Amino acid sequence: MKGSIISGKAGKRKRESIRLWAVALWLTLWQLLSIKIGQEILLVSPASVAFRLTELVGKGDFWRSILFSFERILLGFTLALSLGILFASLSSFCRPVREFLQPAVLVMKSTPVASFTILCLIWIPSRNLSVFISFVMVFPVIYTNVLEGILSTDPQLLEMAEIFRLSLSRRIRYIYLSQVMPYFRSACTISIGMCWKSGIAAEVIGMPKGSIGEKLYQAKIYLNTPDLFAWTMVIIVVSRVFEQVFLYGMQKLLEKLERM
Amino acid sequence: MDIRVEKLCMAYGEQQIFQDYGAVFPEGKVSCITGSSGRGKTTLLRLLMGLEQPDGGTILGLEGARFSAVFQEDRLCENLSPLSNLRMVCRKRPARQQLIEQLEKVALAGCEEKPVRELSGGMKRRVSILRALLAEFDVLFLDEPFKGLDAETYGKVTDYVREQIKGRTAILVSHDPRDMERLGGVEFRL
Repeated sequence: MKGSIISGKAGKRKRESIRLWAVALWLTLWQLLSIKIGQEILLVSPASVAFRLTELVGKGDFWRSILFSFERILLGFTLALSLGILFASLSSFCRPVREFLQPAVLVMKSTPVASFTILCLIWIPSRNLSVFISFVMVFPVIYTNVLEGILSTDPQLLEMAEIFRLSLSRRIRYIYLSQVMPYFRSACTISIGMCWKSGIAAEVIGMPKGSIGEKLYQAKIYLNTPDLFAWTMVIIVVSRVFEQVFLYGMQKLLEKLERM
Repeated sequence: MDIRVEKLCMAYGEQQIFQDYGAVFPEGKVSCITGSSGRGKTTLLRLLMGLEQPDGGTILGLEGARFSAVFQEDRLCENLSPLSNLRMVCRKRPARQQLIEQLEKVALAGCEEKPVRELSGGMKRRVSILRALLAEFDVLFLDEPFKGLDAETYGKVTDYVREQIKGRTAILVSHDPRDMERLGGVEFRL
């Protein structure tokens, strides 16, 4: 295996991938249960969902809704990522910053998405609500993990860096990155799924026009179960694709950085 | 310039490690600090490197000097490859082939891209030695540098180190009398 900053302890164990047989079995169970209930409004069959999805894919509105939600959730995630890393770095060497941020991070971690969303609707236009909610959900995860990674950097390596007079940029690139990366990676894996879930939940409450959240809400109002399931599938797929693309891009970037 | 240690005092709690210790480590030569366990060999090295402050006394001749070291532990970035660990300390970016040639000299051919955590203890030790030799230095500190090396690589690595530090100031801490013989130098018994 090629040496890489990102392949920390997690690199030793291959990630458990989803087995096709397990997916097939779940789909079969779902289909059987749907047939047994016999009411599509209560439990739609996977075949109907697939059919509805093929219908939706052909419409421009479908892609516009995905783009609308994706842009905002991505913006919230990027902001949380940048500020989380920045404040974690500041907190690692400046104790007052860490103490100042501690209550805010605790509040962000403990407050339910619904409370934040309703409160924020007073201040923020509903179309930008998902940016803020994604940010609020992701920031504490990134901040806490990156800070923990920096603080747990091996002091013997820092001493070695001192003796070899390594510049700050080299310390960051070779020592801190390799120590923090396993923490950062797991934080990203957790928070990507979380930012999608919270962002869409905020859209369902705020109902910005043209968003995935609005589509979900409409499906609920009109008891359109196939639409509800189809959009849920879309969220799962988009979130998963985004996660994979992001982690792959990060891995490649770090490998490049390492070779520089 | 020689390294002069004068009236060095150092204690850990009740345990006095050095009491008015003095020594002159000659410039351009290998000084071998020997002695039984717990006599303060590593502590002396740490004091010379400035990683610890003495309770009293002075250390002269190291002002502004550039250090390099093989620590008692390997102190490598475990997630990185040997190549990256070596690049880390090189002031100018060395060519990949150049580094691979150096790795071959300490019998590490073929594992330049593996993460260090996948290497054996002896291999890590050799990466650590090579890293110390590739860094720019005025004084090289070696703390039990050859421990964990098998008989075959021991000869190869000590030959390589001797060649690389010829005419340079190095301070070696070792339990093994063979190390001093292989590298040559002045003995300082604690």
